[in-house]
Amino acid sequence: MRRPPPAPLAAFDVEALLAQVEGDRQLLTELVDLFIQESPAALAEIRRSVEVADAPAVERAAHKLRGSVRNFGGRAAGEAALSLETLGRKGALEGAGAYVSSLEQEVHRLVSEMHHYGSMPSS
Amino acid sequence: MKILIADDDSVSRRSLQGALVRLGHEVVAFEDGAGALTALVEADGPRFAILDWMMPGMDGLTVCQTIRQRPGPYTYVILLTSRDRQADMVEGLGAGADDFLTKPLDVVELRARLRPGERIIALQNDLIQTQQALHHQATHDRLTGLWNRGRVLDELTREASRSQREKASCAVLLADIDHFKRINDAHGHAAGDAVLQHVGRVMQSSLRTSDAIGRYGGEEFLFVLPRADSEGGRDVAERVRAAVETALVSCAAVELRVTVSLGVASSAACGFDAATLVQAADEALYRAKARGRNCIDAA
Repeated sequence: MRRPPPAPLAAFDVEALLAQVEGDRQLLTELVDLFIQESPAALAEIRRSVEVADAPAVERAAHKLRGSVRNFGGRAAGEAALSLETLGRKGALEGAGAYVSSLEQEVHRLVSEMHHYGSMPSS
Repeated sequence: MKILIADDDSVSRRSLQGALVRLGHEVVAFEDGAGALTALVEADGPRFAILDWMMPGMDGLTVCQTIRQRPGPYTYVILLTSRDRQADMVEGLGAGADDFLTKPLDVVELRARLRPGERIIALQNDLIQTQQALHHQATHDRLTGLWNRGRVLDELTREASRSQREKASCAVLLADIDHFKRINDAHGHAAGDAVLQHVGRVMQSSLRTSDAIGRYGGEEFLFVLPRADSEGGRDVAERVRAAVETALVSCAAVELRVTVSLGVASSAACGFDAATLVQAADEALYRAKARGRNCIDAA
């Protein structure tokens, strides 16, 4: 089983994201807060669905989290989620555990970078 | 413009909502397809929808297919996808989608893809307004604003067969302004028009909300009174007569007193055929006129 390569760059590019929300810092902060708040449950849902081998649930949950992380760049996390989504759709969950670990790691990295952004002065 | 969005992922939903609000749109947001569908099929629901393709429960594709099967105003639908594949595009267009947006959201692309939808909705609104204006013109009398002859006769036909079906009664009144030609001759046609408008208003305001009135001919007005027997018809006719007699018409610095005569025909006496009812009311009206005007008579 080939593991996805770790992303070398920062996952969270504040300048690019601010451009994407057209400079609306308040909205970006809101989006970040939503993600920090909701991603743990999303990850837990994916892990649980893999453990009980519920392939359609894996596909759904991974798809949803992929949509979420892609709002923040989150390329590496997005790719791990896409792999899980594909495995879920095919109903072939062998080896999904590695992707779950990789996804968790990338999401945690994204969240810690977000916390760093949150502690920065807001101008 | 009011835009409905549906996405089960709250970050994507909030991000799209933010972008649309920045563009000056009013946004209603849903986290599932079922809620979105309920709002879209409401009579004054949003005419523009941006739906995530994949949602648990009812997905965006199904919402789109469902609203396309319904009659009524067009809803412009953009499907949100995270894949950019030809097969998806073909399936989405087949389901009735108008356009696609790929996730993650790109505001430049969003803005560009909103425009064709806005054009279509604006065209549709123009069309609906024109249809409504034409429908109004086709069913109303221009001078008095009341229903025209065709519309009030349609109403009578409908009401008569409904009453017959439900074994209820209904009544018809025919009113005619007394000595209308004299008003025209003495004060001019503008005064005559003012009298018609005034009498129309006074008569309409003396009716129950379920009663209908239309301008039947030159100075004749036809009333359709659901659930009225002979006596009920006479009561309304007398009320209308008294109301017109009491209200003075002010026109070009003169105050005119105008009266009307009325003929009453009820289904109890004449049956449920619309033409027969009108004919009987007309004959009763003729008798009222012969008796000296400003009075009523019944079939």
